[in-house]
Amino acid sequence: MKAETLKGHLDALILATLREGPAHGYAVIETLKQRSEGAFDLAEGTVYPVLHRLEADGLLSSAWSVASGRRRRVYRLTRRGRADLAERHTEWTSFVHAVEAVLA
Amino acid sequence: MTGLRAELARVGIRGRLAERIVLELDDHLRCDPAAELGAPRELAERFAEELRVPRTRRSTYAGFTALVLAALSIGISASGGGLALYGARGWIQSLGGLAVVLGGQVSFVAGVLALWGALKGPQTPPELRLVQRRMGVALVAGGFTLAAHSVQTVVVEPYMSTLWLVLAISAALVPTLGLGAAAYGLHGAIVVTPATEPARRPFPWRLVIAIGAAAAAVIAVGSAFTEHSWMEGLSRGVVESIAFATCFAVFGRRLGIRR
Repeated sequence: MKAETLKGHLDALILATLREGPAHGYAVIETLKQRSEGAFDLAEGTVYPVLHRLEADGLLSSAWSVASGRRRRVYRLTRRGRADLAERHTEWTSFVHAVEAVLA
Repeated sequence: MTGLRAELARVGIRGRLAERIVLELDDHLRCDPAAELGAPRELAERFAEELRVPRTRRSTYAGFTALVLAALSIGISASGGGLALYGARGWIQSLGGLAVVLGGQVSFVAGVLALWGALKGPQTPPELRLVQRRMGVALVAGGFTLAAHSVQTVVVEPYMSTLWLVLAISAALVPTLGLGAAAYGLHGAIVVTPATEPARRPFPWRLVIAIGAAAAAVIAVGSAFTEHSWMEGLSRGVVESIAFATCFAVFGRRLGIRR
């Protein structure tokens, strides 16, 4: 699936991948791919700028960590990010119910 | 990565942030050498595109907060410590007072317009540029007002008590730091936003005349009461009207409220 198709949902998906705990960019992309069973195989060049924007918006925070002797930027959800994700989840659920009710 | 560094600099992303992006992507390529990062130019532009909205919004909020702080500080220091001292005559104080009143009004109008624009959720470069221009005018006018207030303080310094002198210095220093930080943040937003021509807007004659008349009336009536002289009130009202029209002519286009 292309990033264009996901426009409007990408923020929520990225926030959701960080719900269980902090992760670096590569792990975020891999989690998205695995959880969607390959449907969300996003170009890396799309995900990193969004991570930076979410951080600038205060929904994520980040810090350097060292893994295997390499510096790695690890992202985590902030309290605001958690609240924002919950709100987006609620909106999405009611949207899906409404669409299914019409399509059924 | 060398190409990416240059492209990031081209779109206005430099220093620690550029270094961080390069390190992050370098780490990613070590994890997955087949990663699709895209061409450095496209990638750098995508970063700039994602950063310009939150940077503009945050710097506007920070700028407005700094302006409110400056207004409060000047207000407290002028109404308390200055007391009768500001009533003292002298051309420097009169000029300083005029500069504080004019600079404060320009700063207030530009700051409110910037905040209003930021709250509307600007997305496109022209919308973002307009908010940035408004905040730029507000910060410069705020700085000018603080400078004028400082000049007044220096002039009346020999007559001030130590306590009020400390307050007056704090009233100038603290907001100056706030304005400086906000200006730095605004610069960070401007460098990642492409320069665009201001959007053509209709000329809101009626609104402008109504606001100008209201401002002149407030100054005239307020001055008449405080100075116990209707003539003084009237003359200040006229000065306010002239100042309002001049500021509208000078800053109107930059603030996006006239063609």
